[in-house]
Amino acid sequence: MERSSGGDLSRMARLLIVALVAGLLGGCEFPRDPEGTLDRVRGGVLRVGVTPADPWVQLGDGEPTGVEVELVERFAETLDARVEWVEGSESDLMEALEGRQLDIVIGGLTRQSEWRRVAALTRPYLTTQVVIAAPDRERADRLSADLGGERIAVEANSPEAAKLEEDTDAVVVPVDDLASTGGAVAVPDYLLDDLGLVRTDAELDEHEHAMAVSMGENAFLVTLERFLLDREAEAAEILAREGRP
Amino acid sequence: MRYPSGTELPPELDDVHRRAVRLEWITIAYLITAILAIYFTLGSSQAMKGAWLEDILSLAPPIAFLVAARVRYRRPNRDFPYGYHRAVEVSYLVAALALLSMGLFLIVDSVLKLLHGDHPPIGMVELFDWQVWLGWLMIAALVYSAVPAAVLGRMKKRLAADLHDKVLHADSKMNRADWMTATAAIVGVLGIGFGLWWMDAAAAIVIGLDIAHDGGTYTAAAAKDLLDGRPRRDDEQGVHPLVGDVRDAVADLDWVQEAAVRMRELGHVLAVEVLAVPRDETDLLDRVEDAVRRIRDLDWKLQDVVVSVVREIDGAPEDVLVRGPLGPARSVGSRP
Repeated sequence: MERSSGGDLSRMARLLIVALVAGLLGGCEFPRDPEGTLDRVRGGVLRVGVTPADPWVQLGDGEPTGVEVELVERFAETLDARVEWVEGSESDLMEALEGRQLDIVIGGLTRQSEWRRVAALTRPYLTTQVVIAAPDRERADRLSADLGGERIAVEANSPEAAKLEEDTDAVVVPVDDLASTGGAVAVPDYLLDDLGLVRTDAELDEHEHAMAVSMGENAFLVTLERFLLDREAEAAEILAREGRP
Repeated sequence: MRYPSGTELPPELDDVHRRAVRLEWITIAYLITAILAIYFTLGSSQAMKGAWLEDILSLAPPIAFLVAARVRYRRPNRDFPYGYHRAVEVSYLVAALALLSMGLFLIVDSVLKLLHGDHPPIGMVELFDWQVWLGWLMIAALVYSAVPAAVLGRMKKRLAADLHDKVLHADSKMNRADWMTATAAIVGVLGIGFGLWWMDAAAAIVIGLDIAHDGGTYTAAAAKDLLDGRPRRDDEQGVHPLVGDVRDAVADLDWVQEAAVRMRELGHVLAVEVLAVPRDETDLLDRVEDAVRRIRDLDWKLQDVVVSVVREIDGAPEDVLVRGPLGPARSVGSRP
């Protein structure tokens, strides 16, 4: 049963070469989809699951709108595809995606999402932060130094409120309308301009926004990721327009 | 007679041993960099998980070797009258178990992946504004984890034979397992790239079987050593040649009518016990001391040698017995 390492080496090398040659003879698209998603979508229908998540996806009576909806529409254009929107809860959409009934699911998903076990998440196309902000520079500087005991307003019943309570020793002031507080607030960074606020150095959270596609459809995944990575500025621009307090 | 000492290697092997120790330190340093390299390219894919875990597990044999290398030179004392040689056997068991569990893990994990039909996703990454398929980075990391492992493994195999060091031998097999899994993972990543989602798991199963086989062999061998089994070669391919040499040496002692020769491994070194029935009692003390010296002179590994003189041997297994050159004596001593 003694095997020489040399034999192993050449056997392995041969296996590698066979695999490479077989692949190269088979065509030039690399990586490829096991289930051919990209080929099907090109010039056909792009099935997109949407679930409401302001400002990423907004559902009304007509067509969906939002940052991610716009990005997906532009992506579909590059593939000459027509978008078919499917509304549902995140769980339902993910189940459909896992079973390859959908091609993309959007709705404010982040890279940290637990769904990464059942779906492939793209590289983040945009990173947003939740920050502590103040109405003027002077107060912002003071808050940057220390949050202890400061009264900080935050949207009531929001994840930002949870984060503020857990991670800082500030006094949490839940409000319904961030625009009318007149003091320090915890907000997503894309709302700073709309609210006329100055950010402090204090960051509560960071979200890497991503979309979900079917597991293993790597040609499709790579095509979508290339599209998104090339359009980070565009995404930020749409967000600045769509993001409203 | 000199009390068997704790020092075990002859001066000419000291150098070889120092090289082995240095090699194991290099292995540990290199493994840590390989573990980091794979960790940072792991992404959301499961394809490289096996190779990564294996790199982590393969830290066990070199660490076991280095720990044993510190302990085993200690001199025998009241608490450990046989010295600390068998520290090597403990670490051999550790190394063998690491290999075995590695193989089994790989098989189970891959079979589950196949049954579940997992299609591993591998996307794009951006490196300094340069977009590249993560698969290529994974392959680069895997090549880095394969090539030095192959070289280190071959170097260790040679040293292991010189030192009769089974831990080192098991470690060289671990390095072999390392580069084979890495290669399998490369095949897997390329397969995924070509849309063959199952290829990764399939290649991993083949490699897992091979590693588990080696691990099983060495775990069984380590258990045999702990049961004081007959000494075997460092690569576990058959009986150690010194077993025959010692038996021949005893068979050449003309004062011996018959003798039971028992040998076992104490880590690097071999212990020999001879129960000899003398033909007559002339100069018995000198003869016994001479026999011990002859056996010890055969090889540096024979350090703990005991020859006892007995009146008769009852019930010894036939193939443990050795007959002296002159055949049975007419009269053996006087019985009380």
